[in-house]
Amino acid sequence: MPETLAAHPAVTPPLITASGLSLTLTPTRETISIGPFAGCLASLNTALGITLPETFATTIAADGVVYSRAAHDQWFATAPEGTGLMSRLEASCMKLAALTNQTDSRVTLSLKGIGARAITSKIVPIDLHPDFFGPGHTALTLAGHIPIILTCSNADTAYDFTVFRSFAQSLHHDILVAMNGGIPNSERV
Amino acid sequence: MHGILNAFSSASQSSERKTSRLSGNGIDTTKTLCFSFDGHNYTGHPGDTLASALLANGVRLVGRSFKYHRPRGILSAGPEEPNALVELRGGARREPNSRATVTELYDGLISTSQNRWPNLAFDALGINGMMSPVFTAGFYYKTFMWPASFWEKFYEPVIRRAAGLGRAADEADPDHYEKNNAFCDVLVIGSGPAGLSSALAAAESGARVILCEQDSLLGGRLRAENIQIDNHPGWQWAEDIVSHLRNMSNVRIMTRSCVFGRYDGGTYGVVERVSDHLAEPLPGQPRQRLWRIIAKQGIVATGGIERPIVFPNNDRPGIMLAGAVRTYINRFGVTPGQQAVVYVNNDDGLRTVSDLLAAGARIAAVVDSRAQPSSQAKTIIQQTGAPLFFGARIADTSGYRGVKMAIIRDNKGKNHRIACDLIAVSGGWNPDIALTTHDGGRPVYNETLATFVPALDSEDLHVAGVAAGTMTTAEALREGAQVGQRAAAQCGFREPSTPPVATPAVDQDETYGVVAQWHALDKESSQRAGKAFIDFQNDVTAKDTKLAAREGFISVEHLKRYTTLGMATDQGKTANVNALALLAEVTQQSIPQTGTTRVRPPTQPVALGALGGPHRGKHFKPYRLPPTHQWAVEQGAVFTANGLWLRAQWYPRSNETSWEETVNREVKTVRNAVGFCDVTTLGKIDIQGPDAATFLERVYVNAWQKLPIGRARYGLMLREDGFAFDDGTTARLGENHYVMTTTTANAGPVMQHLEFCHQWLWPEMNVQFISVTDEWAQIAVAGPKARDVLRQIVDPAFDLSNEAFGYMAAASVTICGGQTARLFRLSFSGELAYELAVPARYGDALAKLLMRVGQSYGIAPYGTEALGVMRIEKGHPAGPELNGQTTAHDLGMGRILSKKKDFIGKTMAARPALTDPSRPTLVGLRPLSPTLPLVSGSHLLPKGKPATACFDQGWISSSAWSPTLKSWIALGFLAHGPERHGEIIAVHNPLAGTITEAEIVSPVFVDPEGTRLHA
Amino acid sequence: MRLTCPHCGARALEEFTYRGDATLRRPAEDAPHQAWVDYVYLRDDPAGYHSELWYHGVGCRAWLVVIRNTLTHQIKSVSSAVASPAPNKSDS
Ligand SMILES: [Zn+2]
Repeated sequence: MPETLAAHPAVTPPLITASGLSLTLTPTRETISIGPFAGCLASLNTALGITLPETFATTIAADGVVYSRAAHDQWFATAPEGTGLMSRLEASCMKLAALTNQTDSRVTLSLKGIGARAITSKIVPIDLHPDFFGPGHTALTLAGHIPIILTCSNADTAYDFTVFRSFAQSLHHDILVAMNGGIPNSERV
Repeated sequence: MHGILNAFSSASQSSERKTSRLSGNGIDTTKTLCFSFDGHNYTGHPGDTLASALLANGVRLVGRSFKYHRPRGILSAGPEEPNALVELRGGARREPNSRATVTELYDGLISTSQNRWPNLAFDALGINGMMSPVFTAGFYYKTFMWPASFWEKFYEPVIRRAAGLGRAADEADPDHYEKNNAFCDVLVIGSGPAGLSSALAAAESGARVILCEQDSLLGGRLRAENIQIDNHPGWQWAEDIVSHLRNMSNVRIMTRSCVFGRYDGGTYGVVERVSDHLAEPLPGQPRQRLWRIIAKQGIVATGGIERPIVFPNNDRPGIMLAGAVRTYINRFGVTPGQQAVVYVNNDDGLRTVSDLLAAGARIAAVVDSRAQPSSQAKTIIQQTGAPLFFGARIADTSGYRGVKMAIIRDNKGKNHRIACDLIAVSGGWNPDIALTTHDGGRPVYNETLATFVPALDSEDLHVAGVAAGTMTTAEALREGAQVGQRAAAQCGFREPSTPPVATPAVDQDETYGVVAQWHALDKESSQRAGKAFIDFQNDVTAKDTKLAAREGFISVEHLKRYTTLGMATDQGKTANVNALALLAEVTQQSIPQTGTTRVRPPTQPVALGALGGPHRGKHFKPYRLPPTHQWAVEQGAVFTANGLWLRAQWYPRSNETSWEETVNREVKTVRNAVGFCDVTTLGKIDIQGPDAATFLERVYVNAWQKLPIGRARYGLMLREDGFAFDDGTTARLGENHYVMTTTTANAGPVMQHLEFCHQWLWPEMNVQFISVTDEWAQIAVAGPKARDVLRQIVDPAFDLSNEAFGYMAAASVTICGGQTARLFRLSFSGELAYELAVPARYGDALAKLLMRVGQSYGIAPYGTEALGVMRIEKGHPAGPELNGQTTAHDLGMGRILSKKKDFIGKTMAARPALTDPSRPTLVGLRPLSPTLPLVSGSHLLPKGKPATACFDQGWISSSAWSPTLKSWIALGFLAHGPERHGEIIAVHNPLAGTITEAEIVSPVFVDPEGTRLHA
Repeated sequence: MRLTCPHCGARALEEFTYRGDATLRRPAEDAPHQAWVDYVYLRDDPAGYHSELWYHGVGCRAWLVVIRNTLTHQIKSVSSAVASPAPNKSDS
């Protein structure tokens, strides 16, 4: 009888705390990239029953699927594992878009706690003020030297770093160092 | 009760002296801190700088000058300090060239003087002063010219000993540094009257404001001057404004934060000294933090830097800037001398007289260079009764380790010898405009103020206060508020809804009335111009300036480099304008005609550690880990960096004594049984769309339209100039679906290239790409037993037989009872081989599974070293062959260039020079004596010819010991290579100085027929 | 220097990769040799506004046409290369 393969976490430890904040490896979500073929965006939206987000800053959710921009002409759809996202997308938009499984390409590290924004600001070079980057906002940018997709899940206190799996441990280290460095004084604006 | 020790006895520097202090607005005299300087113990108070504490302890001599080892004291009370540079701390934290004037005192601070030997009071190298003719302008260029060999052995070591500026630590910095990003509407730089009022105005408008102050305390000159605002001491007014600002949620106040540079796009570099004021950082706390602040609007309210006046022997300890004297009195409660001469060319400097008197000092004389006494001067003299010399100058001074006497030449030319222990000098103020010039802005000369003021045409930068040439507190407050409001308005904020804060009243008549006097040299004293210092830190004198001009260095840029004026770590903050004025006088030009030199960031020295931040040591760059990394660690693998990736280089066993033994064993395992290797690092790009095949045809040199589904093909990419760019295999998974592999090194560049081709060259093509490098853990399983091993893993429904799944086949399969996987029959080693890909999270488990099911077949993991040996044995080009200088023809692949389609690089690759048979072309090489190593980088020469460039016919690109052939083997490029198989050639290794012989052979050493590959 | 990506917003320089002149057009396969030499090797170096290609590699992966003043680093415009006006690509 063949044995099944066991999944291996992309970072260790999967949960760590420092300076009153926590850094957690979040459960994997099934992630499919959707690259519409030429002229197919409108039919694709119809097939999906939604309008794929136009801006890079915002995500939309429908039927348990979260859609966000992945590149100038691509989107990500994510859903909890085991909900058959790929099959559903293949059924509705196989001919309209390139569908590529990206579930294992990236992992998400979640930074939570008072001062999460201050810690994130140490490594992410974009304006995280809640007026510009509030809950649900997302950005493709850098954390130090590592490309990430940053998502705000709670203003000031919770940010998700989605990163290529191979970079995850290196990013984990960088975030932990930033956490250990504490929250700068006069951290407000 | 002043209680400051008599400065006349200060040179003896006895230790453990009690100090009692006046009150200062910036110190806390209720607490005492202990510190040491040159081994003597002293005490100070929280709020002290090292400089104020030394002065309070009567220490005036703090260092020796750079070239002449002249005794030097404390000139200033701020970051512009050229003299009082000390070594701080010890051991791994030893830090040279620390300015005592900005070093905050902490309990246990250890400091030592620099640039003296054997000790500060007696310096053996002070003799340099007698040799000063040697060290005049251009001495580097003149003195040490001959013979050239003396430079390294003699001149340089001697100069370094004599003229060094402190010693760096010998160990790695133990502290942590971090970076931070911040954004705001308005960045206010400086917290004096102009800075505070502009920050307040901008913040009241609703703008996001960051206020940066380099000092530990806010208030700027309001802490240094005895001035009343709204019937409160100025510093108290500042504290009120600061506490108001602190309560505003749109304001961030940063102290100990120096804005050192202004860059394009509203970007400012700031270094925050987080724990420099502590003996050691608290646990986890960084030592310094580098901020990048992005501001829509910047306000420079950096104040000014006072100018010295150039007169003979103007560098003695006890000769200080007048503004610094007032700072020490008012902020620190220290009177720097008891018997003072005040030497000014403006009214502002005259404030020093009343401040000194209030602190209990005597005024020995007031020397005002202006021809007529100003009304301010008259008032002060009436009030204080101090002797006033107007139209006068200081002609000389005396006192070896500290000033003891000023020789004052009155307006009739008569000399007066006045005993003193302090000379407070003000030659006027220079706006601190460095930040306004970093983007190329040139300041303009203002005759009235006798200095340079900023000339801004920038929409996002403003200047206020002394930095703008606004010399009085009242005007600075008013201007700051205006500028703050204007900056906020530029960001879209309207007038504040609450009425703007009324400009506070300054209860003092302020006048400035400067009349330029750059130097005090006249016919008589100019003979001592060699001791009239302009640039204290680099020991440049008035005489040097004149000499440089006489020798033709009349451009200010030349003067600077020839004399090294302004090129020390203080950037000539106290020197540059005086130097310009002197140069203008010598060359008989106006100051504007003379021009200014360009100031570049940083405005103050910034530690490299702060710039590096947390990116040091093994975290200098990020690292990428393949999915089997943890497993490989558990196996005891040795790792190598391959770009950012960490890859297993080999897997040593406990009985193996050298890496060669391990690698040979790994190669033999693959050649004779089966091995596996994580090849996830190769770039993988998913390509889909109706035009996918057409697109591949454009980017690869070879044909792709007819590749069947379920097959892979080797592909070569060129750059547009016709040289090879990258190679790999691409497999067709479906009608319009391909997966491309790239080399590990070029995964990113190939993706960028494909995006360029698609978005820019051929946007009409209907194709989509996305990287799947990280999605799949891809493991090569290679060796005669590879199929047997895979049969244990791949679900039985899939036919693995050679007939069904031959060389270059590709398929989606399931393994382990339904797990999705991809299988490719690809071989880099030349053996029967597969690449098996599973979702990345299962890579670790797949490695473990392969070990278990492969055990009976003798399986072992192999690393990149064995991989490299086997690809050389098989003659596969890799990075050293695809080095950016080789063509398809050079690589022996000229024939795969399609003639039937356009592709990137096609036209330029057809240039005759790129296909010339005399170009070095890929060959194999075997040494005549098999155990004699061939070394990559060696040159190939015809046998018997001298090892000179004209006989150079090629080079070795890769070499290895082949355990299969039991010989060294190599790949290389040789002119007419393919025609020369069998020829014996000379191999010259210029590093080792050896010439050996090798036979030219086919680059495919192992299984040239491909029997094993197709087994 | 900062560029405002039409997709991602204002970002710092390290997110972008420079390529060069955006006015060059890839010659036809059979174009005269000199046209190819010019395309591959010959570059203008204007003092002032320059239309150039940048790649937002860590962001949206879009190629961008940036009009930048080479003397002041003033950015006049940033647009997506795919959507940029035809004259850059289809003349000659
Ligand atoms: Zn972008």
